[in-house]
Amino acid sequence: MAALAAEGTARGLATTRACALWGLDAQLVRVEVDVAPGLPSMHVVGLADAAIREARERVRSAVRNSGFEFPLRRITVNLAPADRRKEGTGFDLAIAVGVLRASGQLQSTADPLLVAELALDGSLRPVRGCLPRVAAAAARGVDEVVVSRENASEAAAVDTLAVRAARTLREVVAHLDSTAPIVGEPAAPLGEDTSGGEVDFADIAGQASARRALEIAAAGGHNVLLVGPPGTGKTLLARAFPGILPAFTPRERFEASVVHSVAGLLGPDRPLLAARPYRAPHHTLSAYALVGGASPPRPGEVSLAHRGALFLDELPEYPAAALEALREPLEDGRITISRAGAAATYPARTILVAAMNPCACGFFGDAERECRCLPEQVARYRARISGPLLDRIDLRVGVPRVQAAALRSVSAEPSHAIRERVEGARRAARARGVLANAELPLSALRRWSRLSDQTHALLELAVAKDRLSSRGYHRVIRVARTIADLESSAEIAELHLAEALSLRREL
Amino acid sequence: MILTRADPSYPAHLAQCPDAPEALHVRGAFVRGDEIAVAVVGTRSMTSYGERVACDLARDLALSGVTVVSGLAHGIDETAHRAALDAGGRTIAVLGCGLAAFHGSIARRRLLERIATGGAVVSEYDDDFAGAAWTFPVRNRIIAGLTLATVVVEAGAPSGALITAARALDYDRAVFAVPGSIYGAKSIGCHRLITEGRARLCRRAADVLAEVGAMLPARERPRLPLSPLERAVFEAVFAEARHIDEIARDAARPVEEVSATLTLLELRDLVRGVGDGRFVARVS
Ligand SMILES: [Zn+2]
Repeated sequence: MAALAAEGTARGLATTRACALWGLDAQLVRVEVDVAPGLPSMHVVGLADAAIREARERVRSAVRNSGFEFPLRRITVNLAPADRRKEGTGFDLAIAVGVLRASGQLQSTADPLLVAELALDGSLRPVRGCLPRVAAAAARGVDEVVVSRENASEAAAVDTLAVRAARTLREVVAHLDSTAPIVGEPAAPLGEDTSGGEVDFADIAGQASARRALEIAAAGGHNVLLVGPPGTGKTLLARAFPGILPAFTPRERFEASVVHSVAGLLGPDRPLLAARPYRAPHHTLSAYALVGGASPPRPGEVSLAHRGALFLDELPEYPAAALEALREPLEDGRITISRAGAAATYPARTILVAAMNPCACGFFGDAERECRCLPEQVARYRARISGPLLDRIDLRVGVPRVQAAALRSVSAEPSHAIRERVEGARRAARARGVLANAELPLSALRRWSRLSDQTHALLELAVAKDRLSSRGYHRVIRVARTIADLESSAEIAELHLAEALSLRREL
Repeated sequence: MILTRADPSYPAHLAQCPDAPEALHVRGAFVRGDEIAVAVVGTRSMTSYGERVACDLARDLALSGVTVVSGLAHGIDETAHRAALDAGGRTIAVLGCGLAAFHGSIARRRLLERIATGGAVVSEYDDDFAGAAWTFPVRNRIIAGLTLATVVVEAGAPSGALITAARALDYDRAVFAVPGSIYGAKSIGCHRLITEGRARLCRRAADVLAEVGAMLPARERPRLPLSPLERAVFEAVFAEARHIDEIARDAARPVEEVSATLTLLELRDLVRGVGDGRFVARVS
């Protein structure tokens, strides 16, 4: 190791480890720092974005303000592999430690993963996407990681490596040269699954079809559209929906938390999601905010709702571009966004719960209020939901104004009872190798969905009568599979398919 | 086909009118049941309220076995024809031009073809006659003459529908008007008919059926092999459109069974969805 030479003629070369993140894709990066004689300067190479190039200023101040010397020589930083795009502030600490090591101010050869941003005073700041970076490093055999205090509990969710949380660059150096080792963070316990609805289905009167559709949606991961006049309880039904979703498994919690980590939504008090995500973005949001962006890569609402539910109230009010962009994630369970040569892929396996009024004024078909729309306006309003988008919404129900008779009726079934049936259907899906029937690939669908002759004849009849498009064909069988699972029936019976067809009706 | 007044199949009620046309050009055919006919007429620029009323009235009249007569104009007329056909009932369109000279929108030309198969399209003019401004009011007397009652759904201050109503009164047939908003211009004509005592108030098909219904033969239930549940669901929607939730509650059956059953009945052309989760039986 080259010693720091006051004359400025000695040359030093050092490496440290960092982790690059593009979208959700984490890759270990070797940070090479070369301190060479020459005019004082610092260059960062290796497909780095603006935030990384600005690391020069942060690192220089942080090093000086931590009581170290910043070498007044020619410094080159290479982030290898150099052919991969890199973004963000997560390389600061690795570059600073590399500079100290290359200039002889740090002798230790310890080589943990370093993931933190630096403040000008030398303190460590949290970075977005700490969780996927630490998890990726652990999977590649890294046994130690240094992060900021704020990222500590998030990193500790990965329990196969030692997590050291530091406040300042000085503490990191003291740990590395063993003058003041940092005690490892205890592994963060997973904690209770706190999933649940804010509203219990026991408190919702009437609405038998809507309740049934939501049960099927939860059981099979199918998307649902509630159509009805304002004040009929569409929002209430949607808010009760999380309460009938199945238990949040550790694997799902990790997957969903990774997306939230990348979006910078996790914190010291919330290292992993405690409950299935339930996102309800307002209709003023942009397509970018709904499905995510590529440059810089950021997940959108549809990915933040991964393994949970996405509630879009007043569906026709969302920008047309945003609605069209929903088609891919609803079909594939993930979204790839490409722009200006950069591409990022995010998971988006969510259940869409959409609600809409039957017309612009809201009262078309209402028994109690008068609709003020012209017929063409009603048609135009409904046409805002394009055919290809509607095709991906398997369950469509009319939510009527509940009559007093139904309001007086006996108390409705509580959420936990519905959830039990949902769990049963999900167990059947897991036996087929998926979390829900909506994810069944065609080959598996064929294998697990043998239709009786009678059921098959019904399907052919529906096609002959134009009740089913070619895209709808397999989707309706998936829903029928879920309906059969709710009854623990191995075979898809005629009534199962008939109900699935009924829910696919044009409204 | 051309029917002269002397022809025994020339519509009997029309034949009683002093100014009935000497000959009628017909596509499709008149049937016995067409003697119990009601005209549903109104403005070309309807509101969605008017559309809903025309649709509900024509459907319910058709379901009761009444033939719905109108003028195949844009707006209320076409809505009434369509609703009657969709319900599986009969409808007759009276044109103000020759049968081969109808130049409405593509949707209405398609509708004309449907009417010619499931009812009748008639005109007093030669097939190629293009029609003129005066021929449309004149044909309204045929609409009035073919029917036992005329229902005006939406009509502004001057309106062709009011001419039909006036002819119906001349022929001593019943006239009904549907009330609308007192603020808009689309129901001024209807309100005037009611205040002047020339039309009775019509709120639903039952108001009209009270006048003409006695002459209707009892509607037959299809003699099909139906399961008990299918039979119960079919009966529940036989007379009027009902929401799935309502049917399930009244029948005390799980909504999924009712939902599935409705689809099975629908695919056998026995019931029809009318949107927003409501269903009604078809007449056949
Ligand atoms: Zn409206």
